[in-house]
Amino acid sequence: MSTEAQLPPLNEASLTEAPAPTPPGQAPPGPPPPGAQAPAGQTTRRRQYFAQSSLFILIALFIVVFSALRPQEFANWGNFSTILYANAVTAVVGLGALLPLLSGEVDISIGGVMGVSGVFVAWAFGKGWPLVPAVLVALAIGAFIGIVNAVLVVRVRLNSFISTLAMTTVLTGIATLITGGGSLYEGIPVSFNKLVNYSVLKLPLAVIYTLVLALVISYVTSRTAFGRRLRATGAGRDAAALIGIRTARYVALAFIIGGVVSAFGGVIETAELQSASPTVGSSFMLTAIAAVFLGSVLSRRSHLNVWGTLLAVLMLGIGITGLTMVGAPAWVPDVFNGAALIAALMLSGAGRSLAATAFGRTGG
Amino acid sequence: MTDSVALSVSHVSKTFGATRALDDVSLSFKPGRVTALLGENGSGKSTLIKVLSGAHAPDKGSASVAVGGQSRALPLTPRQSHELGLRFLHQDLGLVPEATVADNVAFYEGFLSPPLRPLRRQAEGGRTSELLARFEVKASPDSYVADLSPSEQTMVAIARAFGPEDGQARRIVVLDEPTAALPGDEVERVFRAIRRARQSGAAIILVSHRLEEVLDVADEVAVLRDGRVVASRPVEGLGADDFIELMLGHGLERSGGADTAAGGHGDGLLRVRGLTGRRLRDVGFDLRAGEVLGVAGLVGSGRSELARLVSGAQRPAAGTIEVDGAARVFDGPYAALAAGIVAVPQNRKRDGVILDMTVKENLTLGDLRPVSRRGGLGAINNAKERAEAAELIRRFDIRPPRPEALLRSLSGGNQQKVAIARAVRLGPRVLILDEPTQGVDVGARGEIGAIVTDLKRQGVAIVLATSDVDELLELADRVLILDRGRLREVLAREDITRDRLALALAGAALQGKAA
Repeated sequence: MSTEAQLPPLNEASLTEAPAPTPPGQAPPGPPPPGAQAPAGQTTRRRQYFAQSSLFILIALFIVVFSALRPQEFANWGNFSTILYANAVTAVVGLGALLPLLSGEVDISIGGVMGVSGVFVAWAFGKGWPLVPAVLVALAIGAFIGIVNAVLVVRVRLNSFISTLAMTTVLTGIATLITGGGSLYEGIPVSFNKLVNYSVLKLPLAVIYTLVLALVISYVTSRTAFGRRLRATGAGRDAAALIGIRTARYVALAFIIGGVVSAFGGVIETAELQSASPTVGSSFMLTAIAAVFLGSVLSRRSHLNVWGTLLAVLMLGIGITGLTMVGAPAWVPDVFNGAALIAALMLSGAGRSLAATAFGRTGG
Repeated sequence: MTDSVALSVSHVSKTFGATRALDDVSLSFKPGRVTALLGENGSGKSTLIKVLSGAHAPDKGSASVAVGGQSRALPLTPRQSHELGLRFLHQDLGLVPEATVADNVAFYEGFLSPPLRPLRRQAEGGRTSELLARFEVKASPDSYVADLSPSEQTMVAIARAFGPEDGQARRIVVLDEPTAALPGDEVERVFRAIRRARQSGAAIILVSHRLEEVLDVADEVAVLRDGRVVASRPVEGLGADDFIELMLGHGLERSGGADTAAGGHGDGLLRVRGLTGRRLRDVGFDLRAGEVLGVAGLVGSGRSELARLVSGAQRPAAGTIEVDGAARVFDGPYAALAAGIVAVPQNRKRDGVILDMTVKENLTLGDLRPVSRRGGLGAINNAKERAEAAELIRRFDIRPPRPEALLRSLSGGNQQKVAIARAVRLGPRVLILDEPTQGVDVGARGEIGAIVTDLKRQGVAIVLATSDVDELLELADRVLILDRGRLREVLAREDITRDRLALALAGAALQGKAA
């Protein structure tokens, strides 16, 4: 029951790039003489393979270690399924963060978006709304916040890091306004919980939603012209515009779709907890963005990608669950999350350049 | 001639890859004299300046620099260079826009108080006003640099480079095209500043492409060609012809070798009138199918801006662009593209290609419709895309011939071929090339030239904005000469010769004298 079975390593690299026999920059035409390979090249390649498989290695390592330490509690399908269930929201919010990051901007407000939409769903149920309009309006709220973010970044040309950070605070305030300060739980039907909790093929529905969403976003970002132009907008904004890509539109769409996806995360969170509180989003935001960057190690070219994001969420989730089971004190998970991100950025090298463009740019 | 020497450099060589930018250069500069440092693009001027400022280390060897008679080995760190009294005015001025003039001076001269003590604003302001007054700068010490006009900013930077009066005799000031960004009537103010500094004993090294300026203000001249010193002598007794000959060597008689037969046909395809941008003023021209229109001009002439305006990368302040007789307004490059105008921009790494995408992705990015199903959300057909990329790679001889190679891993020349192939794939009617061979090796240069000739035969109208005289000689059917944003002259095919171009670029004032 390894995770590799469920999550085929369909990273972006394997979808859009044919496997090259040799890494770039050191490809001699013609067969290399036997036994005469450059030792330096081999080290780089080994390092690269190590980096690319590091998420799998860590997950395997965690499973082995924690299974040995806590065979009763840890090593069973029920626990694994619980980990997946508990981390589905983080994964969805991570996918919401991925799209703006691909366009070269960062959206900090994904946590605030999921908070507001989650709280809104609970509020709507409390007012007696039926399920479908409650969820649809919650998603529309995500789209609307995405539009506001897009206008601030693309039109007003604010730095996306700062403006979405401010937006987070605004959204937390609005969520508090909706709840009146506390948590909302009245009127949320049990059937709402069933929509995420019910197991199909031994997997809770929330996990299935996440996988379907991931499939769709993976297809769009790595197989379509839309995705290609989105990545070009992130990788070279000026060049992309001069090639004729209307980069402002792509940045805007990334914010809007990202907003809807994050709002979806908020809806799932409320369904899982059967309640909603205004401050829930902030803890998800950091882990989700960390997971997106962590996930870049999966790509040969350190590109941000869907499956790497999911694997990183899983790795962090397994690690933290295991640490909690072996009785690690409360401060350990936070340190673990942060240290994992730093390690991943060092390993992949993507963090440096990517974070620099995403965090250092004013929109456009 | 005076005997004393303010600065001398000895045996400086610098190699970049296979190019010898400087070849055993030895020069000396005298105090109280203005030395013009001349040479064509690529002659090694800026490399020499960068060695002096500490930005480049020369090749290992016996390179040394002597200031005030004291010799020391190169390389220098930027700090050592500053301590030796060397000051530089680079073309980008090096001012911090969001700081006051007084602070900008203090960044150079040092603050008057220790780091953690309160700033002595009054004293620094006083020092700055004195400096500004001496160089006729109208700005106040308290104004922010960002609020000053470009000319005033240049003057602040010049005043700062020369510095306070007391230290001036020991200064060695290098001015790299200080007048390039200035309107004509501001130039004299810069010259007065230079003369004043010369009087107080500073050694001044002036890089300029304008012979009129050199004749006007310089006392000595040092000429570099292909990284070697070909002349170092007083200006006295030199005429304009001598300068041109010194800079070019003996290639004066060479005329263009372009395919004169195919010099454009049919009616005007592109018609530009009164085009005005930030620097460009009221420029108009017609371009026919199958014609190569060269655009030449010095730094600050508006050469690149013309390319950007016509390709929709910048919005014109005034003027009209007509394609096939229909007026067009471009609110972005995509709109120019729709009208059949495709550009290969000057700054290749930032604007021309996407370094972190593959060759294939770069080639097809301009139009993904032919390689994908049903619009933006249809899947890209990998096989089709690869085949199309492979075809372009073969046609443009892009090396290595691997569609999946990351663009970053290609040489500059091959990156440029990708940028041009990408543009050609879009089937342009008008192709705009801005410095297409800048930073490109010799082999790729030739290939790019062949591509241009080939496109021209197919009836593509080409705008070739370049600072490379050889490129114009070889490819252009007509050349627009821009000077400080204005169209100064149009050279017809038979007038495009090396000396005509050199003269036109050096300033039309000399036109009569040397022709």
